[in-house]
Amino acid sequence: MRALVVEDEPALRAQVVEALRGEGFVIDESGDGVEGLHYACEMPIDIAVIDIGLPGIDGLELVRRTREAGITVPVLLLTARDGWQDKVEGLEAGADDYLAKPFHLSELIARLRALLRRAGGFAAATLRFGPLQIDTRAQQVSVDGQVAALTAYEYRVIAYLAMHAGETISKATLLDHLYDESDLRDPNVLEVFVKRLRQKLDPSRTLNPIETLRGQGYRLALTRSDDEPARPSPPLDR
Amino acid sequence: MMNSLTRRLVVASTVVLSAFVLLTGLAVSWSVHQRAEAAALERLQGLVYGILGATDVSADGTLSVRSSALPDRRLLSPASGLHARIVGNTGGRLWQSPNVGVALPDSQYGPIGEWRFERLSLNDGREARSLQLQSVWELEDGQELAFVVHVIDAFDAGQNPLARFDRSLWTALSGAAVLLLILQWSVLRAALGPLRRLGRDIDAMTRGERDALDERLPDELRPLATSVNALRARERRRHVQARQLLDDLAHNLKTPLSVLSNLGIDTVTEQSVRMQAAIDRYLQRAAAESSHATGPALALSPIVDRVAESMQRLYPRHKVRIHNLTPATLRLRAPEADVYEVIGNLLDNACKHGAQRITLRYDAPTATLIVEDDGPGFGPGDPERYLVRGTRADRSVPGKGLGLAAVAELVDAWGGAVRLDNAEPHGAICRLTLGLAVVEA
Repeated sequence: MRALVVEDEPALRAQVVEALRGEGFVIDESGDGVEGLHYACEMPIDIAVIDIGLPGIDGLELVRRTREAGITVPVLLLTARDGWQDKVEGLEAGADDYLAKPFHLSELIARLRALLRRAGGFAAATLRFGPLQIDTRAQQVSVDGQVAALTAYEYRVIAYLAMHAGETISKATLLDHLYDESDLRDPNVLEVFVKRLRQKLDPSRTLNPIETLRGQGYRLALTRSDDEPARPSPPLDR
Repeated sequence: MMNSLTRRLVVASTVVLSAFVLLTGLAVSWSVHQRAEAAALERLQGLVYGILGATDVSADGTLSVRSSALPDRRLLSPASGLHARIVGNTGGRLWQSPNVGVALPDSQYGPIGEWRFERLSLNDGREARSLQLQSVWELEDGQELAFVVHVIDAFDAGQNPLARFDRSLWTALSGAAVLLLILQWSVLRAALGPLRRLGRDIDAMTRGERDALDERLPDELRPLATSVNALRARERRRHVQARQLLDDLAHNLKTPLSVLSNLGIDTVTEQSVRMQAAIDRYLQRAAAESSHATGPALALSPIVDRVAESMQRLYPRHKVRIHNLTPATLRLRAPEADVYEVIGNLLDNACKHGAQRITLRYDAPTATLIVEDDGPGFGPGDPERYLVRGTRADRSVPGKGLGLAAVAELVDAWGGAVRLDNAEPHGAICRLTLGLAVVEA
């Protein structure tokens, strides 16, 4: 998953970026509203964390213009002002959630994951596709209850495909969402990951979770199981 | 009593006017009386001359008066009150008018040609004017006959036409005075009208019904109203600035605190959490203290709609239905941010605990906003404990526990109160009496 972080306080931004990278996110970062807007519109981000008080254009304006540009990725606003009037304004501008400073990094990450699940249409933290289960909180994949030993990048590939289950994702897109610009981006590496995933998740070749469409990309070929039962998971405090 | 401007003016003008009327009356009365006396004197002098003209003295000194030549017929009539006599200096009564029937005072002698004019009280209770002229008649043989011509005009004190004049004068003057006083008071009332209006405006401003004094006042009062308005505006600006500064300070601390608390160093995290709690606590208190039921009136219903929309964005999975049944005419006089805080906290509280349906309505007779939801409710025990800062309704949900307590503090600052109850079969009812904040509904 690729995340945009726009926060003008360098120390805080560094903390957030580091924490997100630790969670497997690929990061685009900026300390400026104008630059942030550029990244939001140009980069293939999956989610954005935006501070309201920014130089250049402020966070609310950034969100508004991002929405105007047709970008629909979830946006979480960081705000030092946690009055309800400000929250309402932020949500009306197009944000999907807000987090008041000071905050725990763990809470930020939990909310981002919740937003991503919501965006993918998933109600619960665990994505189920029949025998295949992906626990996005623990970042574990299990087949028929057996946890598969995946590397970080292997997990990212299967998780991304699962979030866009049924969609054909091109190699280029996968590379964009899984790798920083500075990393070595070799499409062949992806092929290796997919091969290894198939071996680990489907040794008997009965499940065929990942489908290769020649010249187009990969697709998670499994169908989603029902979501978790009606009771909503413990809501996050605001 | 002298504290009232109106009363001062009324008393002063009444005293002045009364004194003026009194003095005028006295002056006029005195003047008229003087004139009347002078006229009476002239008339009596005329009578004396007339009597002298009708007097003959024979060669032997016998004085007689021709009755037919008397100047005034009244001298012949007994009841007329007009009497005359001529008394010789040697003491003898030489003549008297035919109508004398009552004892008249003695005549007095004096130098030739001397007039003596006086007012007398007679024995029978009547008043009289008395005029005497000392005269002398030269006889043919060179002897002189000295005598006094004495005329007396008696009248009943009560029949005095001057008394009637006096009565009329005082009646008319009193009437005029009363009329003038009434007019004076009306004029004063009208003149002091702007002052009264100013007083009413200031009262309204104190109660929060007005923002500024009406400056359409007479020249003398306008500077006062202008200054008060300017003073109030300055105070409000300063107040807003102070609150803004406090807000800015608090929020500028939040980012560094965020960084510190995420360093993972226990002591630092602990202390920064304490700092965060202190900031929140004092911000909350400052907000509640400066939240008065004053300022421009806000419509509540649109605010509820906006916050409800936000709830849909924040809790899309819950599919909460929020029914805004508050009247479009309900307006509140309270800071906008604080109204958002109250509504936001109430709805967020309901949504976060799993309500599916929230209803907001307004009971006009009791000026109460009622927020009902079908969530789990407050559980057993006294729901009011959640209005105390620090208490958490649901221990499984992490958080600061400030929501309902913040609502209670703000509503309290507006002069209202919050009541929490459980609903049947399950759910929560929050009743907010809005106190001074309600403008109209």
